[in-house]
Amino acid sequence: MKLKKDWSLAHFLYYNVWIIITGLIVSFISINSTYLTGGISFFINAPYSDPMVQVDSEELITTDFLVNDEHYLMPIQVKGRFLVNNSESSFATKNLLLIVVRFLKMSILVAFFYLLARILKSVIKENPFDPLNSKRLLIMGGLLVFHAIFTFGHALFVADIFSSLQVDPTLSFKADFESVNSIFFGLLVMLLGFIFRKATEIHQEQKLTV
Amino acid sequence: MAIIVNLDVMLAKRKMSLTELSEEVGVTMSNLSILKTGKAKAIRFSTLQAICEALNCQPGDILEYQTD
Repeated sequence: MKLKKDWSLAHFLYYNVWIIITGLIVSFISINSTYLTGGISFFINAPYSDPMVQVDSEELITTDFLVNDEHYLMPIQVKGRFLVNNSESSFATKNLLLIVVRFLKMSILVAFFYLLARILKSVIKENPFDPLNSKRLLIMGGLLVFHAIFTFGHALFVADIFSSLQVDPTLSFKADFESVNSIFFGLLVMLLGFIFRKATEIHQEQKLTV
Repeated sequence: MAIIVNLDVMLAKRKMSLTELSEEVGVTMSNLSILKTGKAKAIRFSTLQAICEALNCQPGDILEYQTD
């Protein structure tokens, strides 16, 4: 049975997944290199570019800000009067914790893509019904659920940092629940894992039918 | 396992080797080996019929039910 041509897409995806894994690690290192070299910066980049400017907003605005040269697009909503001074000193204490949180988030994604690469490898080897694949899918689903919860926790954490930095007491930061929606994707992948487990059983049975 | 495959017994009775049976029935050696060692999960009626014809026996001579 020659299936090599049929699995060319799996080959393509397999190498792409490894590029994504490398990209994740490289971006994590480059983003956090400013911390390692001792540079600490804190800017709120949006909705207005000048961190020293006063922003008077009555509507909920999704923040888009820059911390340690990392461009955040966090699901945080800002409401109120915005006046931020240079807050490097108070931010510095929580910077290490932020790096740890980012590292854990990156690790979860790397683990997810690594398992995906293993599944693709088994497809390339023409053995998609490897009993390990259902386990891998279940773990991948769990990782996605965990990542969604972790992202929400991260947003809460960043919101907490901003709350501690605020000058005007009317300004409020809240983590948005947007990231929690991706839990459903994780559950979907877990469901696929259960289906795959059944498929593997059927395949084994079919293989042992004389 | 509740179902026991007595293929080796029947082969011995008929003084036939597994290779000869494989050639006569048209089932691969590996599949017959799976059947003989009791690893098989299922057997097709067509395979059973071919084995019965080759060994001149009844399905009951090859398969046996035993309580656990």
